[in-house]
Amino acid sequence: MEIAEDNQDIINNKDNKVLQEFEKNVLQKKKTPILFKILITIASLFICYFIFLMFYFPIKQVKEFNNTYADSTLYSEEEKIILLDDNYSSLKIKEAFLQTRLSMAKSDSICFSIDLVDSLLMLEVKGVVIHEAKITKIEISRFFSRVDNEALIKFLSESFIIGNKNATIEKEPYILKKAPKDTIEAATQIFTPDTLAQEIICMTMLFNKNLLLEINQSEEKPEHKNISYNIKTKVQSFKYIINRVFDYKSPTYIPKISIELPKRDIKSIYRAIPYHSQMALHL
Amino acid sequence: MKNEVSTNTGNENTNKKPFFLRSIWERWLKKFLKYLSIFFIIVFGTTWLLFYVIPFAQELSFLFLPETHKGFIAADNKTSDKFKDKVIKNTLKIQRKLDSNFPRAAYIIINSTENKFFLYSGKRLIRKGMCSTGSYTLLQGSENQQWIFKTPRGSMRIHGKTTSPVWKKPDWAFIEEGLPVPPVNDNSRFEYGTLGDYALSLGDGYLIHGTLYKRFLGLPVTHGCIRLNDDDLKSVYNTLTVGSKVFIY
Repeated sequence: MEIAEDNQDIINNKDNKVLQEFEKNVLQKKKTPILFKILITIASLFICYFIFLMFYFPIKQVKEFNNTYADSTLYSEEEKIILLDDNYSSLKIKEAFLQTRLSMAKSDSICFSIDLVDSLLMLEVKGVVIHEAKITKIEISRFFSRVDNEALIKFLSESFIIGNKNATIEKEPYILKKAPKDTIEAATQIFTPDTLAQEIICMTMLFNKNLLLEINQSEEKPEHKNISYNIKTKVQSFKYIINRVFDYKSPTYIPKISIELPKRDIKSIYRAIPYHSQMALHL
Repeated sequence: MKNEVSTNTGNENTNKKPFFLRSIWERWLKKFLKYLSIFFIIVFGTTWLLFYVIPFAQELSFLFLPETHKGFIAADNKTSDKFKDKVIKNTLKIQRKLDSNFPRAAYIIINSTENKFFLYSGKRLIRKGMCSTGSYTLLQGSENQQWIFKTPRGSMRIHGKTTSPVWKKPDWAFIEEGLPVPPVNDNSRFEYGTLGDYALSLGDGYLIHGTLYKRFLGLPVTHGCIRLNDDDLKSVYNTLTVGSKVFIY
């Protein structure tokens, strides 16, 4: 009825072009259901795949983790049962953490330890703690509370090595200076560092043992100011998943630990650690 | 009446719109905007799904799995205590080994990012203050020569100690000032008083020394050496001995 009224109005306006357009639309409407059906099918397949991806791979990863790190020769049957006790396993985790720090002390390079139980991040050289930072906020993936204690102890008993690192600040802030021709030109080149620069300091590290560590500043952090870093980080993790697909490996879930520190500490730590630094972790 | 007039004028205005503009809008712009908006919806939707929804949902998926052995307590207390004692003893042993890494003699820690120093004796902090470290300047000279003015990081030792040090200016000091480079032992190479009253050598030409430019303390302005103010330098000189450890990060 409404269509008829509309048609009448259009005829009254005597605008043939509008009428033609209306006819076109009516004709097109006949085609849309097929296209619409295809689109809906594709979209539902896409959603189904992602639901599968979302729920299946993290659960699969827990099983894989348990299989990879559980060592049947490491503990006696008696100890394996006692390992189920969380008090005992936390003692074993502490022992593993200290053991890792001790083995890292043999190296000459700067390394770091994260003690999530005492909320501390320590920078170390040859076993000497040279910088200590208080962690203000911790977010740990539920993954670690779902894996077996036995596997977790093994996982933490060796140091983690940084594979990929990304930050909002430069690691080595070089300033290029061309040799002046004379003393007059040299006088114009005198450099004074900018002490008032406001920067957002965040960093992410991807370790060799499939662990992602995110360190954010505890001070206020407007998201729009580090949008490029956010995109870069997310694209990097996406690329990691895609690369696995192209290598015919199953997509993987990367457990993440997120911590917050004062930005002065993050800056000192980021600039101090070598490109492939070692880390000990206490969960 | 006024309304009618105004409506008519409005219709006339639309009808008066040039034909080519209307056709451009209807044929191209309208379609372009439509496809552009669809493109952006798809791009943002996918990004949102990939970067935000999936990680969030993946974390949620763990809720379907039970927490590992939460609240489990081993039934046999005697056996579990035996194992616990063993672990505690081993942990203490490792802790002692770790503690033994701390130098017993005095040592200094330098934070080259914040330009601060911390002087320790064992685990006791004796003195702390401002210093100046490498500026990270990359000086490019002629003939593909270049120098990087940064303070090396890691564990080092004091190689030597001197009073009233004299600075023998290297080539880059002249190049940086736009001066001609003099012969190796030319008098113009020797500067007295610029390094303060004391200098402690770290090897490879790096020194802990004093400065005339005290306003720059706390800033990265040096050519790689560590500059301290007079009082701090005296304290560091008197506390550290040859062989004392220096940790720079």
